[in-house]
Formats: sequence, structure tokens, C-alpha cells
Amino acid sequence: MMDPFYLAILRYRQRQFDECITLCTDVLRKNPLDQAAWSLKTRALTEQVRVDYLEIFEDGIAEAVFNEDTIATAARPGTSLRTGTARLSASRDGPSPAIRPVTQSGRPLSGVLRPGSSASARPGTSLDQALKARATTARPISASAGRHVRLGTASMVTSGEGPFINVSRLNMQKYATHDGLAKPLFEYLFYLENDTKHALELATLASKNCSPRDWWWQVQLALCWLRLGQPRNAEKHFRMALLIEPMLITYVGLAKVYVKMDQPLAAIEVCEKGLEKFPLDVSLLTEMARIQEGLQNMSISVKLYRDILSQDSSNIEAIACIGMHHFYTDQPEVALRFYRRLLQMGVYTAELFVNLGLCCFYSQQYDMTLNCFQRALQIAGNDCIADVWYNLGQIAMGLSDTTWASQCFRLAISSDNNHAEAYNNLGVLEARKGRNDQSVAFFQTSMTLAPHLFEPLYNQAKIADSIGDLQNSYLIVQRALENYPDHADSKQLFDKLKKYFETM
Amino acid sequence: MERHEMWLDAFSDTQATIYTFPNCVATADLAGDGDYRLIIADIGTGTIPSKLKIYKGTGLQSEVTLQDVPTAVAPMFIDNDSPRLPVITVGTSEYIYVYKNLRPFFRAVLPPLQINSVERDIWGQYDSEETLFELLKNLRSQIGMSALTLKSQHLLTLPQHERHSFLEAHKGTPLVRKNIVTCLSTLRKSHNEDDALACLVIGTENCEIFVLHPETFTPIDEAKLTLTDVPVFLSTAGLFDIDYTLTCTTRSGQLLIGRRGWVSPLLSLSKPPVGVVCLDTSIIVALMDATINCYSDKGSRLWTISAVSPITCLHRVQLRQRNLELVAVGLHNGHVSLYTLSGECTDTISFNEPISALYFGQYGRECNSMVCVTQGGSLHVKILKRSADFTPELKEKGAGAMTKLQIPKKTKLFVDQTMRERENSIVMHRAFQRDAFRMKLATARTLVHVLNTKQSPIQESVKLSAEVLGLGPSFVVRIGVMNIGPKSGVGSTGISDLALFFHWNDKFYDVSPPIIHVPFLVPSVEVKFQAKVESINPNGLADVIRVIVLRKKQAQPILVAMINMPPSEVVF
Repeated sequence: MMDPFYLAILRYRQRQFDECITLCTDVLRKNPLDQAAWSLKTRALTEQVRVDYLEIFEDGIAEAVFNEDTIATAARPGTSLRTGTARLSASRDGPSPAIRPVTQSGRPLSGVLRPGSSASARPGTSLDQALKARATTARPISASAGRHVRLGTASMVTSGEGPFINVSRLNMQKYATHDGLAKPLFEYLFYLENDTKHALELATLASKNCSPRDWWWQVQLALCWLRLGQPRNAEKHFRMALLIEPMLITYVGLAKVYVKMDQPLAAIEVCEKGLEKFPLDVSLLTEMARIQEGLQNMSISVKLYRDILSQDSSNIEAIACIGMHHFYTDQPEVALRFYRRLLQMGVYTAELFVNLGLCCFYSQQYDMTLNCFQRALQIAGNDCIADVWYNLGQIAMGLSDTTWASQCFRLAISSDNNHAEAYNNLGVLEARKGRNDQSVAFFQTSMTLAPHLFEPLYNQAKIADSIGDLQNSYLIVQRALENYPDHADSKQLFDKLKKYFETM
Repeated sequence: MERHEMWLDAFSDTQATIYTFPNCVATADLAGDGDYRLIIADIGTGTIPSKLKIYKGTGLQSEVTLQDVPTAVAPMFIDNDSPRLPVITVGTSEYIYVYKNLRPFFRAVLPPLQINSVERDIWGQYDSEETLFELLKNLRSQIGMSALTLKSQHLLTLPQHERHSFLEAHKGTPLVRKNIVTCLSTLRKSHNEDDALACLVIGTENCEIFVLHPETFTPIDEAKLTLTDVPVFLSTAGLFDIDYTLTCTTRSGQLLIGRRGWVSPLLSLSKPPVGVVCLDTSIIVALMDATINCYSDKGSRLWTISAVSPITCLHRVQLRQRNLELVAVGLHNGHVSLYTLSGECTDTISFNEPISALYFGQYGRECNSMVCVTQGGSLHVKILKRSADFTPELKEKGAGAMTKLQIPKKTKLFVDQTMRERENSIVMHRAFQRDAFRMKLATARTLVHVLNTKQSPIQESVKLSAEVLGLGPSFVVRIGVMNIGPKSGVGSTGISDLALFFHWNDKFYDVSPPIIHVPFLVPSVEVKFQAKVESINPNGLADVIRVIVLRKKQAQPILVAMINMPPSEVVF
């Protein structure tokens, strides 16, 4: 018979963690002091729930709102991710907000949904606003603490028989001296228990004990500080780790730290330095592409994504982002190719089918359009069905079938009560029928749901202007211009009203 | 080429809490020691009284409390004594206060105005309050509100139940019509030197402009001007004894030019003015549409330029050493721009708040200082560098006109696809029409289903909106209900007997109150309700809460709205 511990190691290598854990448990029952088995079991448990912490790392809403750092509200163009960069028309490179929708923070919508791509809170907005904004989006914006705990507890249930390690009774000092035990234990604490405080304690002790100094512990220390919301400390440890030995994760982590501290240019610099050591590395390129996208340097961002594709031709994020860029720069036929590639790679989601449908429609391949939408409707879950209906409404508008469009928008609203865009479009359709009161009600709802949109504001101002409520129209159109200073129609209306009020 | 910074930051105090108007800032050598002081008449905030603030160097030297809100301040010399000490004149309501050595010296009162004889009769012989009120009202419609006495004006603005007590309280007080100072300026008498004797020029609410004698402070009859409208901005040039020009703008937007005993309208401005500067042969006027206009003294327009933001104040900048004259313009976006007299922008300084007052002159021992007060109440003093260069910035040549529209090239792919479309047009059209038909049917079916199950938050008569506030585990759900009935507008009907009912999974949430009674709903007004939602799931998982709108005693709900709750923050 095979040695059970050997078998356990084998299972671990085969990523059959459940079996590995059972085997280790057996070994440990026979000899509770078997350090090797203990260490293996710890690693197997951790491996089950391990996620790339840096990838999912995102400012929780509470952190963003309660952030006490004062950010200069008038940062120089292109040096901050937090100021609504959409406002600076001169520095914008790529389609205007009138064509490519923007997120709450005023940045263009990204091609993929990832933590941070729909960042809702921007400093300067009130707490009330931030909380509302978060609640209204159906997107995965969760406060970070809540999510970590969920990930942890889910795995606990599967293990069945209470906690494996009793954290409060650990003698950190003892474990810290033994590198082979300390590392698995740290990861267990960090990823599975989500007990950052104890993990930090262990990492501090271990990094002191080991000589020569170990970059790994420095990186882990930095991760702990990052999770505790102390980017300055994290930066210090990442820097130290770089001095000991330049590693990829350190560069990526440092870039994330700078993004968190709202220093995108520093983050890019770090990535560039990293690329010198690790030429053409995909994770560094991805990081840079994301930052450039956030800074609205669309062409640079797309170029970086293309570089990624030449390294890794099945990188979903790169394909989706380039596709999105082509779609909004009036080349739907090119976008169609990218999305088709995603489909060939096995991505099978309602969002993708909607995108395919829209691309087909705008590149005049009409026969495929509605097939795609049909498919999307069939597989759409509760979280995106509203968007499918909304986009179908856009097609209906394209066919100038307003009845159908209005039905679609109504369906979008009934599946997601907070679909601001659908409310706005419904308002426009009502206004076309001459029902001003109702359309104003819709615009107002849209406005309260999504204060970052300029469309409902402009529409409402236009109606107010047409019924002679000039004062209100003047005030509302100013708010529209605040959201999108270059909107030509708003400007025209504003100038007209301004002239009216100034003339004696 | 990068332009050099032309100004040095001498002093700035963001906590100065100065709220003032453009004409309420000046500098003068108050102690006669060559150290010029900054004089600011602060209008206060309502709770804090108006004050005259004197700054010396980088700090507040003294404060004098004013009786009323100041209109303008003007330091000037009123005697030939030596050492030469100027006085500060402050115009407030009907008085001109004169301060010497920062102590009240005397005050001059504008002569009271004549009271309408009819009004005097009305007050003399009224029998009841109603008739008095009616008669005054009739009189007002004949001669206008401003021609009445203060007492009548006050009475006319009171609601009925307060009139009696007002009349009781003011039974014995005489009728007075005050004359109010609207603007103030100075005019040197016979010598064009800094410390020469000067006359005060006053514009009043009674459409007159007085020139006061420097020693007696009485109006000089021959120089009195009577206008057709109330002057609001006044600017002077020249010497009183020799020849002088007054420029003023009126409330209705007329630009007037006046000389000794003679006044004539120059032109009517198209927009309300915000500032005027009178130069020797031309007049610069800033208007509300953010333009700066220069007119010759004959009334022809020499140039006009637009500023980037609405203008808040305008001030003349004289650089004696260089023999250069400029105008400084304070803008609403916090910029101060300097323009040459030919209308070229030479420099822009930026502050982070809208500018409320500007002054350029000697401060301390530095003769070229710019004082700037912002609307947030902060005070900034900047000193012009000796090396400052006022050659106008080169205008960028029409960059915007020739930019091409960014139209991407049509790709080969597009051409191929167009070919496909052209070849298979009939098949494609048929397929599309068939699909469109099916989709329309599917949409209609889904909508009917949604309407039958009342899932839509919009219905013919009621609209519902819901928002979730909070991070969890405690949330507040705010529901807005609005009556958008088809008859909304004139003669519309209200809706009554509605109730909101919450439907939730008791493993996830706890909602209180579970039912909310909606009061009578007036059309087109949103009524908001709140319910407290407590997340009781230990992992903070999210679920859906349904809000059902019911009409009382009716089994079928009117509409149902789903609220997708966000994941909750967990208590540690």
C-alpha cells in the first residue's frame, strides 16, 4: 500500500484538494504532531479558496467615502483617476461621452467588468450620494470586508467539522521561526480565515526572524497593509521587497498601491520599470492598459491591449476592451470580429450575445442581429436581463418602431427598477407623444438614479424651455453641462437662455 | 516660450472673512509715514456688523464698526495741512462718514427729498387704516414706490394683521424721504498729484450726482447733475477746477457722460453693466454677458472682447513708472486678467474662488500692489515684479476652424460585408423581418405577462421608484410614489386608499414597517416613504425585496416593484 502521505502530496499536485485534505486528516489523527501533514493540509485548504488578492483588490465603498485624504479637486489634467476626467475635453482621446457611455466617476465604460471598473464613489460626492450610487447598481460592487468574509465562510462549510486551526490559540512566535510552517500558516490566515491582523503579526515576526531577508515576507506584509487600508505602509514593504529581489508580483502590487493612492503616473512608471526586468509580461501590460483607459488615453490603452494579445491571444479582457473601443469608434464590423473570437473561445454569456447583436445591427448584417438577441434573452440571468431589453429597445428605436421600443424600455425597468437610461429613453418617447408631465417624471427619476448622466438633464431642460419655464431650464441645463461640458445641444440651449436673461 | 510669473505673493489670508463689493477697497497713506494701509469696508454677514478694516503690512491694524452697510469707500485729502493726512470717506445709506486718524471726524447728510403733497395730506387726515392703505396704494400706482416716504413704503409691504401695530408704533414719527448714496468717487480739485485736495462725487437714489466741496462738504450747485435714472457705477477723470469728465451707468443700462453742469446720454448698453472705468478719452465698460467694451467719448465703440467667465469687477491699473495703463478684470472663475487699453490680454492670475473685489495701487511701500478679495472672504495681496513684461500674449491662430472630423477609415471588412449585404439583400431582409416579428411578439407577450402580474413599476396611474441607502446590515429603503394619472394637469383627480406592502424572505431580512398606508396622492407630486430593512443573514448575502402597491379592499395588486438589495456589510 502506498504511503498515505505520499498519496496526499500526489492528490495535492493533481489539485484534488478534498481527497488531499481527507488523507492529511487521517495522517494527523494518527500523529497529531506531524508537521508535514499539517503543513500540507493547511496548503490544501488555502488552495481551495485562494484568489489572486491583487486582482480582486478594490476600494470598498466605505473606504472611498470615509477616506480622509483631501484630494485637490482641480488636479492637473491626466494626473488623477478620481477627478472626473470626462470633464476635460482637451485631454480626451477617444469618443466623447455622448457616444461612449461613462461610469459614475466620469470615466468611459470599460470593455470588461472588473473590480474598480465601475467605481462608484468619487471623492467630493456626498456620503448620501455614494451610498445611493452603490445601491442602485446591480454590479458587483461590494464593500471589501463583506466579500472576504463570504469567500472564507463558504469553504468552512465544506470542511464540515469546525475550524482546523484555532487562530486565537496560535503561538505565533513559535511558528514564525520555522519558515516551512510559517508560510502555509500565513496564507491560511490571509486567504481562508481572512484574519489580516493575525496574518500581519505572523508576517512581521517571520520577516524579522529569517535571514537573509526574504522578499516573500515583505510582499505579504505589504498585502496585509493593503487590506488594512494603509497603502503608504504597503508601498514601503513593496519597495523593500524590490530591493531584495525584483519579482513580478511586487511590481504589480506596487502599481496597485499607486492606483489606490491616486497616482496613476507613478503606477505607470512602476509598470515600465517592471517591463524592463520582465519584458512583455502580460500582467504588467494589463495593469498599464487599465490605468491608461482610466486616464482616457484610449489609443495608448488599446495599443497595450494589442501587445497583450500578441503575447496571449486568448486574453479575454484584451479582446473585450479592443472590441469595445472599435464599437464606439464607429467600426462595428471590426468589433464584431473580436466578439466572435470571444464566442469561439467559449465565452457564452448574455452580455456577449447582446454585443454581437448590436455589432451586427450597426454593421448592417441584419439577418444575424435578432438571432443574437433571442439567444441573449434565453440565457440572460436576473442581473443582466434589463440590459438586454434596453439594448433591444435601442434596436427598435433604430427601426423607428417606437411602440416596440417603449415596450422594451418598460420591460427593462420592470426587471431593474434602477435602469436610469431606460427611464430617460422612455421619457423621450413620452415627450414625443406630447405628454410632458409624464416625460418630466421619467427624466427626474432617471436623474435621481444616475446623477452622472447628462441626457435626462438636457431633455428636461429642453421640455422646461418649450413650456416657458425658462428659469428652471437654465438651472437644469447648467447641471447637464457640468456632467458633460462639451455637449453641443446643451451649450446651444444654455447660450440661448443666457442671452434671454442678460438682454435688457 | 514659457512666460515668467509676473507677480510675487506678498500676503494672503484665507481666513480673513471679508465680504465686500468692488468699490469698498482702497489704500491710503493714513499715518503720513509713507506706509500705505489697506482700507476695506466689510459689509458683514448679517450677524457680524459691517466694519471698516485697516490692514498694515501682513496683518489687521484696526477695525471700526460702521452704523450701516457701506456703499463705497474713498480715501481723500480735504485740507492743505501738513503733515498730509488723508481722511477716509464712507458712504452708507444717506450719510457720508468721514474718518480722520481712524476716528470719526464728522458726517455729512444728503439733503432730504421733498415729500409729495398728496402723500402728506393722506397721512395728515386719514380716518381708518383701510382708507389710508387704499389711498397710498392708489398714490403708489400714480407716482411709483420710490417717490413715497419710507413710512408709506413700509406700510404698503406689510400684511393686513401687522398694519395696526405698525401704525400704533409709528404714530408720532415724521414723514421723511431719505436720499440714498448709490455710488461714490473722488475728483482732484486743482492739482493732479497724489496728495492734492479732492472733491467727493456722489450718485444718489434720487437720480442726481453731486460734487461736494472738499472743505465744507456741501454740494457745489453749479456741478450738480440731474439724470433720468439712478446712477450705479461712477468713474471720473480730469481736475475739477480745470476740466473733468464723469462717466456713469444707470440701472436701466444707459451710459452717461457728464461735465460741469452738463450731462448727456452716450448710448444704451445692450446688457446690464458690472463695472465702468473712465479714461481720458475713452470709457471701458464691463457687461453682464462677460464682455469688455471700450467706447470713445463720442460714443462709438472702439473694441469689444469676451472674457472666459462672467465678470465680477473691473479696476483701473496705472503703472506710473512705465507710463502704462491697464485694466484688471476679476472673473467669476477666480481669474484676474489684465488687459491693455487696446483690448489685449497681457496676463492672468488665478485664484480658486470667484473674485468679489479688486484694487491696484500702493500698499505698504510697494507702489504696484494688487489687492484681491474673493467671494469666500479671503484676502490676497500680490506685488508686481520689476521684471514684469506686459507685451500682449500672442493670439493663437484659429486652431479650431480647420480641425478635421475624426472619421475612421472604412475597413476592407466593411466593404466585404457590404458586398455580402448587396448580394443577399432579399434573403437578409426577409430573415430580419421574420425575426423582428417574432421578437415583437415575444416582447409583447412578456410585457403582457409583466402587466398581468403587476411587476412593472410604472402603470397608467401610479409610478413607483425605490432606492436603497446604507452599507448594511441596516438599510433604509426609500420608496417614492407618484400619481401620473392620464388626466394629470388641469382638472385631474387624486388617488386615495393605496397601501405599500413589503414582501421579503425572512431568512435574509427584517423589514419594518411591513405595510405603509399612502395618503391621498395629488397628481405629479412625489411622496416619499421609508422602511427600515435589517439584514439578518450572517454572511451578508443579498436577496430581492418586493414592494407591492395595493388598493385597499382589492385582491389584485396595482403594481409590484422588485428591489435588488446590495450585499450587506457584515458586523464583526
